[in-house]
Amino acid sequence: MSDFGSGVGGGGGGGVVAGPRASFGTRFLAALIDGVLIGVVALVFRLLLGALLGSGVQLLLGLAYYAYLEGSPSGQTIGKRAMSIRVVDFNGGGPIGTGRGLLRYVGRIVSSIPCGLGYFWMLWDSEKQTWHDKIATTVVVPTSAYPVAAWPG
Amino acid sequence: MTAGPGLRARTTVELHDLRVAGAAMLAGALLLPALPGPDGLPCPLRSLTGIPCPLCGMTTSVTAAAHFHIGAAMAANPAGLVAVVMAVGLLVARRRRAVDVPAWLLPAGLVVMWLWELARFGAI
Repeated sequence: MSDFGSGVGGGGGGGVVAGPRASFGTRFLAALIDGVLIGVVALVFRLLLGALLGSGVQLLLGLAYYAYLEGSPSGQTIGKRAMSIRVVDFNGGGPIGTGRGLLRYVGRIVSSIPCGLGYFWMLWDSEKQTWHDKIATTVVVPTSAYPVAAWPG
Repeated sequence: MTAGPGLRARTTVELHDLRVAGAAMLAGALLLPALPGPDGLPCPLRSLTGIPCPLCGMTTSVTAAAHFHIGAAMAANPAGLVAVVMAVGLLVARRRRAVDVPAWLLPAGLVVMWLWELARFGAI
């Protein structure tokens, strides 16, 4: 893990992204920030629309939030921006686009079903990939190594 | 069973993130019984299908193990004891950066954990 060379800056020649990965701690705090943000907005909808309809809105809200922001050129949700980390394509380091952002959100649901095992997976994975990273072929990297041009870009 | 190259394969696990997660887990386990509210979250897989997942019982087990209730920890999920011992070990051996383990260790551990939980909930 001392190869910080190729791939820095992103958008390169299609090789696997080298260099550092975002740590568990920063990703956890980013997820906490995003979770609180969506949770608060969803709570308002729950109070207005009732539990069932509110849950539906929460799901769609999360889907739109993660698919748009993680699919954007910056690859950053508000939480990831606060923690200076971003989602990039594992192959080439570029943005993943809304379609794969959507796939990554579906992957989040898969990751959380067995008590969050898919999230914990990054703790021992050699590329620090969660299941939703593997499903969407992404890695999460620090912006110190992969700077963001504009947000959301 | 012959020990082919597949079983001899080893994988390197970096310890920094595991150490952080382990410390957070220990802190959570020590604090959880003192906090109001439920002692853990329901398993989505078990809520949806009735089938437990490999990590079912881990909140109970880790909390019990951190308070030296070994029997209760064993009953809920023996892996909780392993997790607590490993988390303490990682804090003691703070200079160690990575460890080489057999590649089959983690998948095998998860299979054993799942079988234990399936049996505990009468699914097998």
